Amino acid sequence: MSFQRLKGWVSDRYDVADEMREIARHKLVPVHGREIWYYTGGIVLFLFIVQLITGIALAFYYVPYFEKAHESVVEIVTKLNMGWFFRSLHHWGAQAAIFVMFVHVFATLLLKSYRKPRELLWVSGFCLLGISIFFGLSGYFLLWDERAFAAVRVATGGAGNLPVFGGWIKAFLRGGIDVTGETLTRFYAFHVCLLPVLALAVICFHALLVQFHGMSVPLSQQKKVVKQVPFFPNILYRDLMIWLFVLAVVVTLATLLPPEIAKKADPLAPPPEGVKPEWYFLFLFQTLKLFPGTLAGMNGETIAIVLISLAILFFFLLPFFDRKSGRGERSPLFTAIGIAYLIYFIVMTVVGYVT
Amino acid sequence: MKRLLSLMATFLFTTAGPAAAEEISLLPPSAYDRSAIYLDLALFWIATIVLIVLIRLKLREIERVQSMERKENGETAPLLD
Repeated sequence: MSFQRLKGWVSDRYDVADEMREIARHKLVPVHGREIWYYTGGIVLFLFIVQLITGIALAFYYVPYFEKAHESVVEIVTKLNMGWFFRSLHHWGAQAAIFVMFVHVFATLLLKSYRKPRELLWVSGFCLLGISIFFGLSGYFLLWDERAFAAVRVATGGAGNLPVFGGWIKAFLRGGIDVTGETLTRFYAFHVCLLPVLALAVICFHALLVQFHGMSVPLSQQKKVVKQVPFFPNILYRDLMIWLFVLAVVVTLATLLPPEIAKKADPLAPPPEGVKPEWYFLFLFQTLKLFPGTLAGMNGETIAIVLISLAILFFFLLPFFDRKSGRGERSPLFTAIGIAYLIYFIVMTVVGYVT
Repeated sequence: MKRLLSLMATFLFTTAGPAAAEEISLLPPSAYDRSAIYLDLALFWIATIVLIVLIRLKLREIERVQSMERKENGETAPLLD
């Protein structure tokens, strides 16, 4: 059966191609001075696809058992044809996805794209950022090396300091009292089953909302005459050019800077000196360091975790507090809050990296 | 004494072996393979740039046709009061 006949057979029964083409043709994207930020969402989607493909390839060879996990990663890197490249691409793809997602979140925040009626877009995007960070943490642990082991012990221990639910969250994440082989099994299940399903559901919901509401035009651009161009083919071709460039950058990083593998984790050994979490946890790590051991007779770390959680909760609920921008008015207070969050994140990350 | 020293040297040599083996080579170890990788990376960049240029040309052509269509439909004609 030739391709044309097969295409005809399908379109006779399920004529979705024309409908899809019509939807794509009618989807218009505003063109203005801030449109560059629209492309960050597409880049994240593209990097998620890269992660899915490289992740599936790695899952064929990874052994999710604590006695074999480290050896299987070493075998992937040293013995499999192009194994080192797939692992490196998966690593750098994750770093790039989380970095672009932070850029996307802060661009949305500063352009007030979260304003009414797009609050749920912000909420779903924020959930996606949380899922991605947990993806990063769980994937890092699958290496089962001493640095990943120490990082997960600190991260899950930090979650355990939350009042009321902290102990339960810690036990749920670790699969016991301490970080053990059970934790590895659990993190593997999170990384390859639970998180991909959640991410796919949230991405679909987010994309559906973007389709429903259309692209947000920043308040500063609304009064100007905004030209609109069709998504297909104009924006799709621009997306393709950017994706190709991003892929080239990620491939270059993966080739020139393959991620290291430390010594196999030993649960009974003390944590290695100077161990640091991944860069997206550095601001939290540095904030924890600011607090003394005890504060007003209470555990300093617990107070720090509670304050950080409240700050993140406020950030999460920002669209519901910023009523002015919902009415189409300027809200400089929330712009200042957004800038303060951004500066704090950058400064603490740099300080955490340098010290 | 010599025997003791040689025994110690043998001990050090044999224990240094597995420790050195723990250094994991993150790229293929041979120089030939590495140079092939860097060459492939350069080719990949050239291919990417060529593809981007081709897409850019295609997009320009589409935008030119779209602007012609707009002119034909009179969308850009100046309004006379």
